[in-house]
Amino acid sequence: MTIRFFAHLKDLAGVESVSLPLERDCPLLQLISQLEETIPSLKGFTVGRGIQIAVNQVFIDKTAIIHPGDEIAFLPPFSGG
Amino acid sequence: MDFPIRIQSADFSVEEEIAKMKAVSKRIGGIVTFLGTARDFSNGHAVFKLTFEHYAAMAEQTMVRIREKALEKFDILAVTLLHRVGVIGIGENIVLIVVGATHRQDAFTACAWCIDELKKTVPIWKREETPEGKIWVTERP
Repeated sequence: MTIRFFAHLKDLAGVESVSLPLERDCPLLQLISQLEETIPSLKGFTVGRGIQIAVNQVFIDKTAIIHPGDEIAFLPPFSGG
Repeated sequence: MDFPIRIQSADFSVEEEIAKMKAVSKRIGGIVTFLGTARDFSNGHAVFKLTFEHYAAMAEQTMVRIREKALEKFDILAVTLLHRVGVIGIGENIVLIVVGATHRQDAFTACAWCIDELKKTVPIWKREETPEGKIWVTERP
């Protein structure tokens, strides 16, 4: 399972993406805790503040279940155009 | 013609995009464009240059959906949406919306709707280089 970061979240994480081992389905919130343990600089920045989360390019909410092989993306508020 | 949804680092020509649209249908009686360009001042500070990054697969899908929705929602004949990514100098082109319709009012309305939707829903981010450093603009202007 791959997690991707964009804009200031990428700067905070210090990487564009990270792979976390996931052998079975896992609630998103549990995955976020695991992510924040792996990259402590992201703590407090992955939820709220207008951040949206997409799984396989589709927006999801906090109750989502993540599957092995999914691509998760943390998307700060957009500023294109 | 080129696919009418493009995200690219290269600059684009507004004239060429209009010419391509004119070739789509002889029923087009009005073409409205919105061209977004890089300005040198934002939120009270100078801006030296911009960098845009995007979530490629999702950004393109979302722009395709905006075009499809616009063609359903408004009485128009053609829509082109282009957005540049990478480093963009002040005064350079950033984004182009071109809408062709039989009559002007539909084209004006659809063009405004398309750029609003693009800003709200397409995963693209802007970073400004300012005297205070590099700042990601993560709030809608």
